[in-house]
Amino acid sequence: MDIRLLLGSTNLYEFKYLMPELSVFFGAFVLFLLDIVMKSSETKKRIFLWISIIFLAVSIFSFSYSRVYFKDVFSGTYTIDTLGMFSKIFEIVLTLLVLPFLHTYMNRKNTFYYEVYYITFLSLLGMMTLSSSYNLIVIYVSLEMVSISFYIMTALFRGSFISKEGAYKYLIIGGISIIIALYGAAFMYAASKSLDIRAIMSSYNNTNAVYLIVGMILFLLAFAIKIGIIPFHFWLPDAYTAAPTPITGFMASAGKLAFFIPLLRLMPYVNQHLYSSWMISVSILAAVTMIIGNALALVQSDIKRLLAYSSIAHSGYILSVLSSNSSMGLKAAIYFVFVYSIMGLGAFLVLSVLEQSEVWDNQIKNIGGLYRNTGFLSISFAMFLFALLGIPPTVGFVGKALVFLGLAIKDIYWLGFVLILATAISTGYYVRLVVLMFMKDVEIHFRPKYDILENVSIGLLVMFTFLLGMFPFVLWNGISNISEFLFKIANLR
Amino acid sequence: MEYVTKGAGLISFSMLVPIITTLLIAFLPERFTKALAFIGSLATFLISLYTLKFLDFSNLSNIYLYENYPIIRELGISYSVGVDGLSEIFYILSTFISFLAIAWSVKDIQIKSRLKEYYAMFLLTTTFLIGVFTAWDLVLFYVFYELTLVPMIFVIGVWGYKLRLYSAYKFFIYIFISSLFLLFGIMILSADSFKQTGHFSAFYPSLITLHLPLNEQIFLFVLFFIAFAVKTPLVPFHTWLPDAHGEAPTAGSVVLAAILLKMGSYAFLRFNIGLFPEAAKHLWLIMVVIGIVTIIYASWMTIAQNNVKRFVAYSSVSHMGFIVAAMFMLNFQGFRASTIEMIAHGFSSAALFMIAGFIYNRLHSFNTKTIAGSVRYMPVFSIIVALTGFSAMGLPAGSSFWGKFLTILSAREHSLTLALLVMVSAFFSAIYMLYFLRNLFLEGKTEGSFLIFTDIRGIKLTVMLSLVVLMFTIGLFPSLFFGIFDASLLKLLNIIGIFKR
Repeated sequence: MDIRLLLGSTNLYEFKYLMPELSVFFGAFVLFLLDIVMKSSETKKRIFLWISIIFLAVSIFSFSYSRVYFKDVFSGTYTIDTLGMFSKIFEIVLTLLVLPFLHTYMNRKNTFYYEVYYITFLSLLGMMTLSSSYNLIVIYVSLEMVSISFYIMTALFRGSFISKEGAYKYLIIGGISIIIALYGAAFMYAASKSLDIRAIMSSYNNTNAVYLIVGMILFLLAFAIKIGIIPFHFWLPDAYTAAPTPITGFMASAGKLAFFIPLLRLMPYVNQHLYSSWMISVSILAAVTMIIGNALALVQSDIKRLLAYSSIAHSGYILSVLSSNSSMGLKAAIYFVFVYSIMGLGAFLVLSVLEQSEVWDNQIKNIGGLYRNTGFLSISFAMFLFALLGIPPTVGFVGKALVFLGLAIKDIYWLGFVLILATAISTGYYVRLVVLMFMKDVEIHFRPKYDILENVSIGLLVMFTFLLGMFPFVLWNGISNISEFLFKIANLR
Repeated sequence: MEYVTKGAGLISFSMLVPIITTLLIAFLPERFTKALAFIGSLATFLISLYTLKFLDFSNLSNIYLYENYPIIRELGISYSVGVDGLSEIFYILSTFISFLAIAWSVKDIQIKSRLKEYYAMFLLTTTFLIGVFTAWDLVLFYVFYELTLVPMIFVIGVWGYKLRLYSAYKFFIYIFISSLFLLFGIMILSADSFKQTGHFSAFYPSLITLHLPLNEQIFLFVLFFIAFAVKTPLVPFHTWLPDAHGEAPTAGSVVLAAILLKMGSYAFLRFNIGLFPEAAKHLWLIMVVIGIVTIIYASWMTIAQNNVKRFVAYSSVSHMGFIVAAMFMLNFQGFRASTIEMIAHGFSSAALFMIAGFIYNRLHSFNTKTIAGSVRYMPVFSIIVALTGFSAMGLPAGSSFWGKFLTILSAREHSLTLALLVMVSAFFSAIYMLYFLRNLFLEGKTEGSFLIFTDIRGIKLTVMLSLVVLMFTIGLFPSLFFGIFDASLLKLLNIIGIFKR
C-alpha cells in the first residue's frame, strides 16, 4: 500500500469510530499531566483512581455513539466489528475491576507509583487496537504497546530483586517474540504483497505457499510466546510472580484476551490448503501446553506461581480448540477466552487482597483454614478455583464442554483425551487448595482488610462466574453470531 | 413417548425448596438451623410424594410433570425435567433418604461444629440428586451429576473421621476425572446428532433415535462406562468407596451409599443400555462377568474388614455388583431384579450405616473387636439390627430377596452355568452378613461395661423403624414397586429388541 494513499485517505470524520480508543488515550494523557503538576498526597491517590474510573466509563458509553457493526476505517487498517467491540468492552470492564485493587495494593505496600495508572491506560489502548485490526503493522505496533507497558508494570516495584528479574526475563523474551512476529509478517508480506491478514490468507497459490506457511507459523510462534505457550513460556511464571498481583491479574485476563484476538481473527481464513500445517502446529503446541502446564502447576508451592502455570494450561485449552477449524471451534475458543479472563482475574484479585496482610507469603500451606479467617474471600476463591477446574454450573464448565464439542465435531478425539488427562492433573492442585481452605485448621491468623470497591469487584466477578455459567446463552448468543459472521466474511472472499 | 405437562413445575419447586431453606439457614441464627433443615427436607419429601398424584399408572413410560426451557437453543441444551416410572421411584427415594439423613443428624452427637454448613450441604445434595434423577437432557444430567460431588467432599472432609482429608480428596479426584469421559462422550454424541440430523442435541428421547454404527456405539459405551463404573463402583475402580464411606459422618455415608451409588447404576440402565443397545448386546457378557467379579471380590474383602463402616461399605460394593450383573442380562427379569435391588439396597445400606453410626455414638469405636457383642444390651436396637441384617442377606421376605432371586432367573434365561455362578456369589453375600450378625450378637464380652448403654429411642428409632418397615414392604409386596417402574423397563426392552444368546 502506498504511504501517500494512506495519509491522503485519512479523514478526520473517521475518528468518530475511534471514540472509545480516543477517550482511553485522553485519559492516559490527562493522568500523565496531573502526575506532573500535582504533589503526592492522599487526595491525589483518590483523584487518580476516580479520574481513571470516569475515563473508562466514558469510553464504555462512547460505544453507543456510533452504531456501526462492521466497517473498515482508515483504508482498511482498522476494523470496527462485533468481535472487536465485544472484546474492547470486556477489556475495559476488566480494567475497571482491577483499578481499586491497584490503589489499595500500593497503599498497603507503602510505595505508590502514580505512573501505573496511565501505563495501564496505554496498555489498555494497545489491547483495544490489537483487538480490532487485520493489518499487520497495526497489530505489530499495538503488540509492542501492550508489551512495553507490561514490561514497565512488571518492574513496578523497582526496589525488589524478584521484580527486576521477572521484568528483565519478560523484556528479553518479549523482544525476541516481537522480532519473530516481524519476521513472519515480512514473509507473509513478501508472499502476498499485502499487509492485510484477510488478503494474505486468501492469496494462497502454489508459488507462494511455502512463504505463506512459514510466515504464518512464525507469526503464530510470536503469539505463542506472548500467550505463554509451552515451550515458549519461561518468562511467564517469573513475570507473573514478579508483577504486583493486581497487574498480574490484568495481564492474565485482559492481556491474554487481547493477545488471543488476532489468532481468533486468523482462524476462519485457514483454508483447506493451510489447514494441515495449522492443525499440526496448533494441536501439538496445545497438547504439550495442557499437559506440562498442569504438571508444573501441580508441583508449585507458591500460589501465585501455581495460578500462573494454570494460566498457561488454560492457554493450551483455548489453543486446542483452535485446531478444530470450524465455526463451532471458533465459538468455543472465543467463549473460553472471555470466561477465562473472568475467572483468572478473580483468582488473582483474591490473592492480591490476601497479600496485603503482612503475614501472608503466598505459600500453599498458609492457605490452610482460610475459611476461618475470611469467609467471603475463601468462598469466592473456591468458586474461581472450581470454575478454573470446570465444575458446573460455573462458566469454566461451559467453556470446557464447548471445547469438547469443538473437538468432537471435527473428530479430533486424541486431543480430547489429552484435555481429559490435563484436567485430571489439574484436579490435583485445585482441589488441594479447596480442601486446605475449608477442611484444615487455621495455619496463620489474620484479618484481611479490603475496602468497599474491592468487595464489589470480587462480588461482581463471582456473580459473572456463576450467572454466565447458569445462563450461558447471555454470552453465547453474541459469540455465536460473531463467529458465524467472521466465517461468512472469510468465505466471501 | 408422550410428554405430559400436567403438574409441571412441581419438580422444579421441589428442587427449589432445599435451596430456599439453605438461604434461610445461612441468614438466620444458628438455633433455627436444625428445625429449618428438618422442615425443609420433609417438605421436599412430601412434594415428591405429591407428584405421584399426577402420574397415570396405566401408562408409566410417558414423561410426566414435564418442563422444558431451552438453555442454549443452538446446541439443543435445555433444562428439561420430568419423571417416568423409573425416575419417579429414584426421585422419591432420594428425597426420602435425604430427609432421613437430616432427621438422623438432628440427634447425632458427632455433629458438633459448623451446623449451618452441615445442613446446607445436605439440602444442596438433595436438590442436585433430584436433578440427576429427573433430568432428560444429558448435559443437564451431567451438571447435576458433577454438582453432587461438591457438597459431598465438604461433608466428608469437614465432619468426617480421622482420614477425612485424604478420603475427600480421593473421592473427588476419582469421580471428577472419570466423569470427564462422560462429558466428552456426551459431546461426541451431540456432534454425532449434528452430523446425522443437522442440529445439535443432548435431549435423551431424541438421542435414542440416532442410528450409530456399532464401533461408534462401543466407543461411546466405553466412555460412559468409565464414568459410571467408578461411580457405581465396579471392582477395579472401587477403591475410593471404602475410604469415602468409611470416613464420612453417618448421615453422609447414608446419602453416599443409598443414593449416590444409584446414580451410577441408574445411568447404566438409562444411558448405556438405552443409548447404545447394540454395544450393550455386544458387551453384555463382559459386563456380567465384571459384575460377578465385583460381587465375589467385594464379599471376600467385606469379611476381612475390622472396621464396621468399611465392612458396610464393601458390602455395598458387592450389592452394586449384583445390580450391574442383573442389568446386563438384558432381559426383563434382569432389569426388574436390578431396579428392585437398587431400591432395596438404598434402604438396607442406609440402615446398616445408621447401625454403625449408632454403635459409634455409644462406644466411640468402629473396631469389630471392640464393638463385638454390644447390641445384646439394647433390646430394641438388637431387633432392628437382626431384621436389617437378615433382610440385606436376601432371606425370603427380606428386601434383597427379590433382587437375588430374579437375577438368578434372568441368568437362567441365558445359561445354567451363569445361573449357578450367580447363585454362588449370592451365597458369599450371605456369608458376610452372617459374620456381621455373629460379631454383634454372639462374640465379645458377656457382662460388664455394655450394660450402661441407653437403647435406641426417639427420632433415631423412628428413622430406623421406617427403614425396616420399608425393607419388608419390598420383600412382602414387591409388586407395589414393580408396578411403578415395569413400564419404563419394558420400553427399554423395546429399544434392545429380543435378545437371546
